[in-house]
Amino acid sequence: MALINYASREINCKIVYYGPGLGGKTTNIKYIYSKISPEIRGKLVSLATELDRTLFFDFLPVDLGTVKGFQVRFHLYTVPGQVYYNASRRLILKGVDGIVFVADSQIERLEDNVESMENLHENLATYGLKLENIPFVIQYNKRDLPNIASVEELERLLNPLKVPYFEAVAIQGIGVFETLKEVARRVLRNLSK
Amino acid sequence: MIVECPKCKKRYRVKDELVPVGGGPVRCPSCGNIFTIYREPLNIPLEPIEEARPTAPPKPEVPRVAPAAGPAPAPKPAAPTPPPAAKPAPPPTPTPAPGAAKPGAPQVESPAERLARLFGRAEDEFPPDWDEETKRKHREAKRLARSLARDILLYHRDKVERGLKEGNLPELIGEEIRKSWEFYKQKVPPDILQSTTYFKDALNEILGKGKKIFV
Repeated sequence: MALINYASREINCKIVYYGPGLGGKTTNIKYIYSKISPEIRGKLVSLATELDRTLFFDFLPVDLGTVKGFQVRFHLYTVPGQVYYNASRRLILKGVDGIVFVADSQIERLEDNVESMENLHENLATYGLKLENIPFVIQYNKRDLPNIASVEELERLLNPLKVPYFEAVAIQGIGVFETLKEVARRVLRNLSK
Repeated sequence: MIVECPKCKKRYRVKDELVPVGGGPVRCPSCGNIFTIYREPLNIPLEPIEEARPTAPPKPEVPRVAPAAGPAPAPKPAAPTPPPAAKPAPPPTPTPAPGAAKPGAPQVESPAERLARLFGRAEDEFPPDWDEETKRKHREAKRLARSLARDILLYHRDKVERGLKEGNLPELIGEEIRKSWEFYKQKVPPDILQSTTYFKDALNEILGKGKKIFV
């Protein structure tokens, strides 16, 4: 649920990058951060556990216009991917406005993707939320690696909702902004309802 | 059969029976590249159908997980013993049991079922007198144990490999195992926790590469 700040006339939207460990969530966020002009972005904050990190930052896109007279500020979050950090993942999902699922395309990670997707459903359910009612897109990352599953296979395993998906090589920035733009578009459409 | 790493072109001999029916990923010992190897096609007679009417949903026998650069079909090695008249029967595989599908009902394969088939893993076997709810809980406990073990491997691959070599795996990753166990204990019902060895089994299978390291 977007938070509205009447003083600054801003709507704050939370977009969470979800997915299995080492799948590229942080890479996405860092790439986006590096390409956004310092004047419109906040600080990149890292909440570090020993191995996995939660990153977040916010920014105010200048080219978006306004929604009902308010400017929209996006807050981008990653979650820790390791299975046993579920409490953090659930906490970060609180008040989410849009979700990007970053899947690792490698065949050996198929199972982890499926588990992570199920975990997303479960964690949303604890807030009474359903993925089908939340602006949501999928990114199939690491498409440059040799040992990857076909997009068809990934779609079959991960995308029964048939939401838009993007192929990406996040480390090179390929597909990163396409993914963000689509989820942002969906979040805004949701807000304007 | 012989397989070739698509990256460094090094060739290896592989025992047919170790390759899952749906193919499986292997890591090239020489260059570290991961690629998928498949069994050679079986000589099962296939009869063409005149007109395909979609009365039953398609049941693809060959998984469609396709690596970008598939390994070239490996030629038969010259050396090995003369090929047996019939291919050795594949190990127990999760090909959909004929009795499992209700005739007429559209059969939708769940992600878990599909994964089991893709990776050639046998379905979980439980005593026949267990009810569905009990089976489900056990299946979930097993899955969680495997996820936790895979995570340890993912984040500590170097330590795991070193530990296997030096024989001190439990010490090297003890802390990770402890944290995973704590999480597992929270999630799994006490009776399953006490009556099963799923957690240890997963560690041995995934980290110990099948060796009984964790007892």
